[in-house]
Amino acid sequence: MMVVYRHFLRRMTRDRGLMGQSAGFFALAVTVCVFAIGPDAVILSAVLPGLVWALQLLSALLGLSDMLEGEDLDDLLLARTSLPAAMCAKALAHLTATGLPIAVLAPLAVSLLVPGSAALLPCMWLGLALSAASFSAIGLLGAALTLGSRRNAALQALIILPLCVPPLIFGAGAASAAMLDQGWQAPMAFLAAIACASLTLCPFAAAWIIRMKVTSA
Amino acid sequence: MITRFANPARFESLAKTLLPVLAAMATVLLAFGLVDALLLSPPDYQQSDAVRIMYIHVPSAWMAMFLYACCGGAALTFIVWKHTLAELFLRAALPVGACATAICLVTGMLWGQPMWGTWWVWDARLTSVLVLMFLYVAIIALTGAFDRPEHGSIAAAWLTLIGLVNLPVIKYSVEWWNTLHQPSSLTSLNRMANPALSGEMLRPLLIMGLGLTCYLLVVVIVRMRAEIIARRLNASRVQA
Repeated sequence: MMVVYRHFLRRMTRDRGLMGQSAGFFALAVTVCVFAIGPDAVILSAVLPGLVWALQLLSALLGLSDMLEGEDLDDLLLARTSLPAAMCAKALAHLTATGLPIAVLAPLAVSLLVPGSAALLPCMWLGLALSAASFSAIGLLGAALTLGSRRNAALQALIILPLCVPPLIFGAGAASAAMLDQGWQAPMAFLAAIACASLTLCPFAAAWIIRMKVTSA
Repeated sequence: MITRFANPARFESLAKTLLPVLAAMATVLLAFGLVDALLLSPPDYQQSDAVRIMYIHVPSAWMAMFLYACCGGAALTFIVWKHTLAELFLRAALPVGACATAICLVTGMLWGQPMWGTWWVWDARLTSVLVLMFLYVAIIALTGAFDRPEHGSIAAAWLTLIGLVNLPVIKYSVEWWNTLHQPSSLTSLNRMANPALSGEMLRPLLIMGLGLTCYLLVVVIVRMRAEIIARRLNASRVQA
């Protein structure tokens, strides 16, 4: 599985430059939103956690349209690694390429922009990493569902976004609670549960979907 | 039982006997229910006549969730047994369920404006029903997005199954979170002994719910038959 993971990660980052693309998209999207909202520090610090989460979700969508497309499915099906394990490796590679850089860097940027928010750093790191894991796993599911369809990217967004609402709500909720000095442990626990469930269940579901599609041909 | 109705011809004969019965029931129940709900039942002591929106809003919400649950069952049946009729049901029922959800949302907004003073609040009940609407739209879009229709059915069935997690969230959203939307007036045990809704209001509500169920079942069965006929036409064209 480690070999498959490294192979996928190399393809996503080196061949397609996904890591730079998604991080750049995220930085630009945050800047655009800040321009649109205006430079008022009070408003910005109130909306920033929600903004970071929503834009992280959108940048997770970026690498999905070609997550499975262009992959040699026969290779995957015939490989010695089981298909669910390969799918899990794929989700983790996507997480490493798109989710984790943002999860590491975005809280640092927030702590620079919003004065007095340095204490939030651990909460935001943990929350963003956990929700990035759920987004990647759910995104894998969306990629498996739309595999072989005609209108890929838009359709994927349509499928994935409603499913990603729970991790989004709990993640942004934890960050906002931490910002207001309230207890953020409860939403964070829910978020961790969602991340565990989606990372463990989605690869199996994705593998089953792909197998059904291949055998029905 | 499951394999018995896999045969479209057997379904056809069942549908032929069932359709007139259901259609008659729907007509009678909806006609009586509407008169009862709009004219005979008493106005609310706080909301006066605006409470009558309930007789459309609540049954359509029931239907939205009931149809989704049925679709979930059909999706499971299709995935596990490759049951053709389950696939037909899924394709036929999804747009109907989406319509019920849309009616529920629109009537809810029309009711919210005079009662809460706002068309929309981001409360857990409203938001989870909105997610249900998005799910319906996404599944319907997914069914039609493939060159091979069977791939569309597989994908739609899986997404339906995954989306089932939303149903308990909708049901319990009014209990888990503090919502502006009121909790259920019907379904809790201490409410049974001590009903929150008077019998004169409960009667038209239940009649409307039953009538709407019959009506939507009629629509779903008609759509399933149309799909069977369309497939036969397609098959004969391929053969010719």
